[in-house]
Amino acid sequence: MNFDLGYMIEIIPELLKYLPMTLYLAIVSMIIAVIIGVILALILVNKTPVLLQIAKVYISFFRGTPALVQLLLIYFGLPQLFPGLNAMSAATAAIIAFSLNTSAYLAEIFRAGLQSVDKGQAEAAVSVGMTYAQAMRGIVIPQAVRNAIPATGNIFIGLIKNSSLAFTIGVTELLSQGKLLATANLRFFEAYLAVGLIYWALTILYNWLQQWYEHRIGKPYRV
Amino acid sequence: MRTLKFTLVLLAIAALLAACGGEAGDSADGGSDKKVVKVGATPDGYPQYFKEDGELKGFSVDVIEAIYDELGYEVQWEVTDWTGVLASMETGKIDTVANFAATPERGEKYNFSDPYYNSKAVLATGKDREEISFDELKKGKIAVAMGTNYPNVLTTAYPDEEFNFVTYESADVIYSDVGSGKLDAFVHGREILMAQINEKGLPLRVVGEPFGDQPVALPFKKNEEGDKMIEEVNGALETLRADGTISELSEKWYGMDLLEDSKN
Repeated sequence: MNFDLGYMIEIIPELLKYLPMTLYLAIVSMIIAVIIGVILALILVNKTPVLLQIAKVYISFFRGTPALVQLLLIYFGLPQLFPGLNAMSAATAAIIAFSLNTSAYLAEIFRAGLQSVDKGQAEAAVSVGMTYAQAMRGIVIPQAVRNAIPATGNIFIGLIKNSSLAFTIGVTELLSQGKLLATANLRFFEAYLAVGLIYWALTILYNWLQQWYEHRIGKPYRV
Repeated sequence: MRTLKFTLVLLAIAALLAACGGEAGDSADGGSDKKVVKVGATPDGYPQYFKEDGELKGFSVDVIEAIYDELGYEVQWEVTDWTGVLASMETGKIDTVANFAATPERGEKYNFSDPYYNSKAVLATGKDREEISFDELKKGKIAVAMGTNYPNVLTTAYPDEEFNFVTYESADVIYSDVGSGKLDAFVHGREILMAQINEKGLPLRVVGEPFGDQPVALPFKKNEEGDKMIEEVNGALETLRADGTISELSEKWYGMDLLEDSKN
């Protein structure tokens, strides 16, 4: 196989132009997913009637069907039911799909995080006069966050790479730009490897950020 | 609270990215008053349709832009993979599709313009593979790129034979799998494959003679608007054929006149 290293390096700047799109999809989706995930986890932990059943169906659907199917349903299916949604841009549809999908996974992670904090702690907090909200904010959530961070990081790293699904509905991002560049001279391996290296570098950078954050929130645990 | 600060920083980054991401996504929207036609395309590769220096180029790109230039439209390209092209066509997010094989089955769903070229199919095998006859080769495992109609062209040309097709999502992996001998053959369009072998050094060679005849045309929805568009496009095609534009483009990208060729 004749591998052209020079070409691989040459196209990296061309690929990096689409890095903002990949980051945009992944980060915005992640933020929305975290918000939805927290709400779902609180419903799961508190077993709020009616909402609990809805949350369970939601989680079951979004974890149980392929992300590609959800993406197609949202971008092509919803506008059939609600013609007003036809104006929705492809990037917006991708963000909605990724947020909903990711939030279902996060809900389970956050639930586990919350449940990892002994129930006695919240009860003790309430018994000394704190409200439930104060007990959650001051006692339970900081510990739950610490427990949930590693798994949440995994999900985010996965999301960065899965955002390339958006090409199906016409959003050109990092991976699809690599595919498109390779259509000109058919040097697919060089293009894919260059794309791979960029994703890897991105993951390493994110990992540093997470380590720094874990170190910070781990302070009270170190003697 | 620390977590809050962290979230705020993330939100700020996201907002920043949203600003630049938005720009990148909307770059296709021009400010002109020209009528816009949205054409879906999936990256078929050189010289049919490819991206170079941030621009779409290739035979189909030039022909379709020439047609719509004639009609006073501005072409807005929507690049997605094959699934996206089909779903976009179905739901009306695009008006037509580039490099679309006009087959009777697809004709049940869409109406077609006149073909802008006719494609013949060929079988290719690995460059370094020992001599093999066309008849031997077609008994082997044959790679197919999803969305192409060449396997049907092969089955139509040899209706009494059973074929062993393996479908791939895109052509890129096929080049290496057939090149390395994991699969025996690749059934694909003669013009595109010849150009890629000759000019991009694909590790493949064509075996035997080209076969079949696959018209390539623009599909439109079966409604009044679609019929009107077909009429307009056919008119423009007539003009472009008569004044030699299509032959010229065909010479430019394929080094041969596909129009002359398909008359034989």
